[in-house]
Amino acid sequence: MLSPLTQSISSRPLGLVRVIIGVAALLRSFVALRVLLEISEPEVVHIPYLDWTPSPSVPLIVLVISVWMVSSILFTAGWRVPWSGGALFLAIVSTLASDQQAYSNHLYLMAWLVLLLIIADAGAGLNLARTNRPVFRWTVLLLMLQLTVVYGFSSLTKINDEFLSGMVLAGVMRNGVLQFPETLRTPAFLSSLALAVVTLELLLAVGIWFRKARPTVFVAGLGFHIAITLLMSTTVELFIFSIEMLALYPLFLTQESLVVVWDDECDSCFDWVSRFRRFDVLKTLHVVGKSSDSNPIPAEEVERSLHLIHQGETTSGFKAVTGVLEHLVPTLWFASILRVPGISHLAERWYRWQAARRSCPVALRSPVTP
Amino acid sequence: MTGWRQSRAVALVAIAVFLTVQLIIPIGRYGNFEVTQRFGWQMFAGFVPAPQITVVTSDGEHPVVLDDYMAWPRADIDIVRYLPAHLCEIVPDVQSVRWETGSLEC
Repeated sequence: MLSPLTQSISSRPLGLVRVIIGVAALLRSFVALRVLLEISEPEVVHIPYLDWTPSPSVPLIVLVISVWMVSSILFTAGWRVPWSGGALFLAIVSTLASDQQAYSNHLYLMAWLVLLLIIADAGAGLNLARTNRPVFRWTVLLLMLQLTVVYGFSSLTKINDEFLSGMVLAGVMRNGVLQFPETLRTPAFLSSLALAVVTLELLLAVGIWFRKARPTVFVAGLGFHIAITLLMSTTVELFIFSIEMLALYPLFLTQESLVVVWDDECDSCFDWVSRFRRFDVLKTLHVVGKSSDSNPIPAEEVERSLHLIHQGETTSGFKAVTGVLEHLVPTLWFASILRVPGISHLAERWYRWQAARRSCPVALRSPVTP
Repeated sequence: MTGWRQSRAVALVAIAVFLTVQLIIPIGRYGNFEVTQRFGWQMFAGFVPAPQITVVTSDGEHPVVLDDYMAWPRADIDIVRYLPAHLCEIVPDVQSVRWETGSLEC
């Protein structure tokens, strides 16, 4: 029963998380620099965790932030991740420990993510050396659990009278990039919105583990993070928090191959498949031409539309395209919206229209490889 | 792949430690889910009003703008424990600092 924990899996999704978290860490270093420099000013109170801790001096701040910036760049590139990640982790922790005003939940989360990425050997994939060593499933599982812990804890702590009354939302949804409509600032609406937030966070925490619910969760999660970033006042912090959380989503995608069966005598199919290959960062696509011996679909069906075979299910047309887009970067975060009734119907009609106008046969070409 | 990661025992211990630190410590420490505190994930779960602090000088009482004396006046900081003493040190001609629930003679 426990053997899946030590099963080896592809390191590419993990590498993608490392790249995104590295970029988020670089962005966050500028916020840390501002906060630490403010703390070092004589007018500003120093609030240490331990009374004997000295106030951070400017040279020390410059040193810590320089280490932070350089290590985050190296970490992003996948250069000696135990060392670059270790230096980044220490820079973040020393910032957190310097003063209570330097704390924030998303920075605490960033420290955890960097630590878990080091443990998981996140430099194994998507690195400068272009190597791709497998990693162990349990190390990736820790990062997946981190997502559920954050959303779940956040949701459960909001189940209190104050939050559910809508009062907290009324307070925090001010001075954002987008103004919350004043006409909706009523106790009834804010209270309903508060309940929706609690429910949504719980859905994100739990639903992401279920394959059937995952497309909905991805779109709901993206919408949730865009909304909090634009509507709430702490925009920069929430933007970084949103990047941290959304970075973890690809870890939940299946690592089982997606078999794309295409008409290799068709020009427009060639373009589609070439684009797919270009954005297949996670390397989950297995492309099979109509004329290939390993094609399991009748040729006349493949001539009509693209087919996708994944986890025992075969889909065709725009449904197949959607299935593929849900595993590509960056479309994996929003492609599920194409499953919404109405949108999927229109997209399918557009696909059929495109397919009818295709030019065949094309000179024998192979789809581009990245 | 590094050898220690291959061990199921290491995997189980790591998962147990992770969940303990992330869940049990914040819950056990604060006794409930509701409080806005550090090292948990209670994001925007409650509303903690900032203290209203004033300084008294020879020419009267003046309200304190927290952002002028704090880098980040977070709700999880016990502001009245630290800020009044600091104000006594740096505000010229200050005689005392007052807030809703107390005061400090400088």
